[in-house]
Amino acid sequence: MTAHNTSLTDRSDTRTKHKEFEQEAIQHMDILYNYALRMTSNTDDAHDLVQETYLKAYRFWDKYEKGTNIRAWLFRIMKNSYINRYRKESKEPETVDYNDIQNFYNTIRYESSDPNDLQEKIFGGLLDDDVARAVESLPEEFRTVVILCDIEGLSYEEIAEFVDCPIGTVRSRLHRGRKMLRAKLFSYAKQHGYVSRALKD
Amino acid sequence: MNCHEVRELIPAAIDGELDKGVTPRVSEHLTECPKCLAEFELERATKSFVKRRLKSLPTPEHLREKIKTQLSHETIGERDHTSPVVRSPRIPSWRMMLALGGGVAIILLLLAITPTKSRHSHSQPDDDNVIHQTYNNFDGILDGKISPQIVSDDPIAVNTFLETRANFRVNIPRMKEYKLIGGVFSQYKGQNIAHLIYKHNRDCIYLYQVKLQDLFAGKALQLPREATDELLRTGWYFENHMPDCSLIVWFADSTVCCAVADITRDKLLAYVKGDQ
Repeated sequence: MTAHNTSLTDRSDTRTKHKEFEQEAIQHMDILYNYALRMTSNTDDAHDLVQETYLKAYRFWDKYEKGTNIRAWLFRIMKNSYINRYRKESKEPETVDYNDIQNFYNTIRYESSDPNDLQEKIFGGLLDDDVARAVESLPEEFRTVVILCDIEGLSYEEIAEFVDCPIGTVRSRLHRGRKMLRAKLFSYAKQHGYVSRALKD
Repeated sequence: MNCHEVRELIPAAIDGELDKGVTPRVSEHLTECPKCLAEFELERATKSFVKRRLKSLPTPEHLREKIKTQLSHETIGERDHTSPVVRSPRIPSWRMMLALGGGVAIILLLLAITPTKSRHSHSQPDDDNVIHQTYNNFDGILDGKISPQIVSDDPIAVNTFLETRANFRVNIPRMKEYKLIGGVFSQYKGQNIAHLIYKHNRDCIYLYQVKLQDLFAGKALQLPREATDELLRTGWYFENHMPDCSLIVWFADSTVCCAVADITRDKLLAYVKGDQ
């Protein structure tokens, strides 16, 4: 009388679904893993988050609408788990001193014509950990678009689908996110003394 | 194009996402305006620096394998779940729950359920009895005194919200035309309870869910003896408070579910079984 009797057809149905899930969902693990890593700043938490996402996606696989963007679907499940588990109080953007960095660039603009060159001089000494820390310090919505665009190389269209907002919003968040990131990197470089060194060179 | 318009489009210009129509105007402005050009070059330099330094990493092979192994023990859909919850969650504070947002609208009180037509009360003694609690909560919902903490018709979002807090596997059955509208997590003397609310027009199905182990340990919550016996014998227990008000208790995986609605027993049974 109950749903607990699994018939043979149910079992083969399960096998088909399992195969389908493996083929469609498993291949997108890297992007989820990287996002989890940058959001939680912690390998163990990232592992848990990816695991939870896949288990949930599998359980609710019959809710996935075929033909829609599966990466976006998985991403939203992960975002949801992340929000429920890890998000502390919603973080206000840290106040960053844009004047500091702006003044600096204004003074040196005449001396160095290539910002790439200059940025490399100042930021080049930073460790990868510093860079990761700077990205992780960004408020969530800005961090998300910077990770998806600059590290994962997604298109605006796909990012918009992931975060469920218009393309224009993705663009402006990127603009602001990168600006905050630059200021953050600059302040780290300043702490390490790279800024004054770059000026002397 | 003025500086303001161009600044807004700088990210798109860097990421190769500019519309063809505006590209010439943006590049024209950049050649004429050193300030915007500097802004453009700085942002481009920042992007390429981050891109160079933070590589996208491959998923560790052991994690991939672990997940695949776990999946092979799982079932798809909301039936026959036997595997335990993977890890013990951190139960977050109420304050944090209020701060939840993202893709899910959390609208407390705003979306209080509108009281239904004039109706009878289901009021029961306020005690440890799960069935009494279910009736009383149902009244609370119909009177608009209990509102969902998470308002969403997305079963995954509601499930995640509840499981993160409840630390047991929460079933979210499909109830045909009754639409999931949200959930509530609560504790009673240290035991976790998940509540689901479904609505169809002005009618409501309320589902109370508690971990089977917790209930049978009998530390706080109790099932009346006759209900337990009937459940163990057939897997179901029915009660008709009034002719048109039905309550059903059943086992679902590792939980005990208790649903109540102002409809006939056969109808409610069909809904909770999802096979009509």
